[in-house]
Amino acid sequence: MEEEREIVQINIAKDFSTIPSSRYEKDGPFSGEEFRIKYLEPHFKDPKANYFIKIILDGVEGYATSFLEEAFGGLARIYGKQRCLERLEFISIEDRLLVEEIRQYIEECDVE
Amino acid sequence: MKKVYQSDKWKRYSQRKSERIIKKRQKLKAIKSAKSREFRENYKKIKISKYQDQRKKRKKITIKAPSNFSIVNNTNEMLSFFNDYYHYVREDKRIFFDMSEVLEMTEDAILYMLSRFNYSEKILGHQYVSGNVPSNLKCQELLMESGFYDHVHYSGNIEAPSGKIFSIKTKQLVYGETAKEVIEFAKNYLNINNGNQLKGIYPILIECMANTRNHAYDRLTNTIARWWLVAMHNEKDISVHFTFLDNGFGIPRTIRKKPLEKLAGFFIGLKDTELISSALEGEFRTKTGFKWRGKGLPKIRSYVVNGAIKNMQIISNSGYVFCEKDDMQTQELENRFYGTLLSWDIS
Repeated sequence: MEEEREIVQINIAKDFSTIPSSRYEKDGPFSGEEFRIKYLEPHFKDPKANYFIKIILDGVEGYATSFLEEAFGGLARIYGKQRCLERLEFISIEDRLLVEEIRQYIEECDVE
Repeated sequence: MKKVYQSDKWKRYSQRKSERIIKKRQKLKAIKSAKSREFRENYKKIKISKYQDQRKKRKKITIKAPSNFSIVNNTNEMLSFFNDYYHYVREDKRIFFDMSEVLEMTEDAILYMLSRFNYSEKILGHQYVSGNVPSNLKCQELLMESGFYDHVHYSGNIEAPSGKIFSIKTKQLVYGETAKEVIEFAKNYLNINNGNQLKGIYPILIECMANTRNHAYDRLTNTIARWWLVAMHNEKDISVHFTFLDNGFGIPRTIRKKPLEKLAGFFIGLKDTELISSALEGEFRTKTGFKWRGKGLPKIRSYVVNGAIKNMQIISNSGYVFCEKDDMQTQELENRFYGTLLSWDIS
């Protein structure tokens, strides 16, 4: 019987901010880099960890491409896109295209 | 036995000695005072002549503002006017902005004026600009309502804004809070309860602020560019007009050029409109060299294409681009625009 995997939920609006901003921390508060370092990377530091990370995207003012790319594309550049795609699950009722967009940033994270 | 210092001889000797010392001190004091009087007088003369030289050098130059004080509607005349201003700033002249005959004014011109003042004051250290207000009441009202006087020295009475305009905000960093505030302003005027209808505005504003931050760092002056934002409600067609301006190097100067373009640029010159258009269309233009970067401008264009915003105009360096759903109109400008201006409408 397949082992049931644990799920960790991150609600960006509630846990991080309703006003996510740009790419780097030096750009201003609530950047993609800040979100990646504080909320995503701790779940990836243990190479054996394989629980799901459910990310709820709704409830914010909006997302700039630079925020999404640095948070999720940046994560994939560090821990590998396959690992990120396997473990991250995105939920958005307000904007269904957003999930596709993020997946694309992960897929294309290291295109030279 | 009588002590020596109590004897008459000692007392006389001591008195003469004190008199000599007092005389010597008075003499020295007189010399010093004469010297300092002379020095003061000479210094005063030098200072006055220097000041007179400076006054001559900084003779007040009056530059007349175009009657149509609008970057988007009267681009070339306005840029020529600001070129004159820049020329006199470089010569360290005292400048007087004569705006008395301005009959029409748009908020983009106000932002550009503030951006030029900021550049000349903070970067070039020039502080000799003064001016008058337009005689036209509508223009006066626009200057007051836009919050222009909060950013310059103004001795008149500043009336409390009526709230028709989201007054000018300026910063150097990316601030989601400011973007949220301007969206709230737009929602109020457009009677929108569902925030999803304005979802595109927030990312556009963040992209604009981020572009200012990332592509406008001046290594020579060690300064980071600044952005200005204003939004205005239009009663006629129930819309809100957004204007965003940064005083960075401009899109054409900060995007990556292909080797052939560099060569062509060297011999025949590249058209700024073509560079802006291609960046908007999503060609690989980021100067970082990373393919995952440079997605901001194409994303902004996508909001025009999907109808979230309309009438988007971009002016940067010598390029003017008007974006429509399925078309882009371009025009090369006669004079250079310093920075990047983006404006768009939502209704």
